Amino acid sequence: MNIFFYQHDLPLVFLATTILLLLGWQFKKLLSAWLALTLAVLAYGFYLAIFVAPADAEQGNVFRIFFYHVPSAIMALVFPYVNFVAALFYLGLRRSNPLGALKADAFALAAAEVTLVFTTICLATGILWGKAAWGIWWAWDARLTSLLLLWLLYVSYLLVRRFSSTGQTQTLAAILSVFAAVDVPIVYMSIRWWRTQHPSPVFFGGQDSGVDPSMMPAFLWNWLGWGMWGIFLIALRYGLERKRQVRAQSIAMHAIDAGLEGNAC
Amino acid sequence: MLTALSLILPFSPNDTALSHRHLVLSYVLVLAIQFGYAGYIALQRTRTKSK
Repeated sequence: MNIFFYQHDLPLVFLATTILLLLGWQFKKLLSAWLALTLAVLAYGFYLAIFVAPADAEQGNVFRIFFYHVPSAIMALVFPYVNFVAALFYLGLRRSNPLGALKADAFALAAAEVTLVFTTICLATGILWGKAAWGIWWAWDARLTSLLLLWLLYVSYLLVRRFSSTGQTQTLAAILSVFAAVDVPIVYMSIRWWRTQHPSPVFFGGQDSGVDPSMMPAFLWNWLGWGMWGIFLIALRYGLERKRQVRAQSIAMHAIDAGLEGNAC
Repeated sequence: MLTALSLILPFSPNDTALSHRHLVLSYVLVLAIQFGYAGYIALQRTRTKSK
């Protein structure tokens, strides 16, 4: 099987995708068009993962968890940097360009929530796979522990955002983003630096790494699908946060206006 | 639910192999978390719009 579609189908898929996104752009429904495309890719990825990819010779069907565990893990390690870069923008702009800083902060919050979603899935599916493959739910090895730390950092991030009332909430959260960004390379390298219960790297792990070529289409389509889904979630959450910010600004402006009128009387 | 899934999946989730149940459970979990979160955000957006 070709890695994506058969070669003569690929231009057709590209054309259909472009038309769908252009229509979405034209009718101001880009997010809906993106969602439709994402769901189609996810459905195809599901079909490949469950019905087409062969069962693993040693693990059997439980290996199929790999097709969404690994894409979720990749997203859980990519989106913290989206959060980190947005947090840096917030810190850089908060005095010189408050409106830009607010937008960066909304983006950082969206990326943090989506990171937490993917990290939770990575941990949960890993735990279920571990019970089936190892016979135990959890092992305190370097990979699992460093990923749990990343999860805890983002839980802390969101708790700070939710409950802090110091007026420095965004700055405190941005500092947590820096800690998370430091943890990500440790999570990635943990199975290279130390001997762990977690399997050795599947990709970029040397000569013995990799999966059978017959499993690659299922992996790549799921990776693409969950990546697109993550981008969709960030866009959706960013839009919500911006609306809340605009609403809060509007309420604050009305309160100031009312105060000024009261003083004038 | 597992019986219903056994009709559409190419393997039986009721198999004595624990692994099949874990595979099905993990997929249900993934879909519940991802679509649950997206649904919650969409609901919040609608509420914010209507205020």
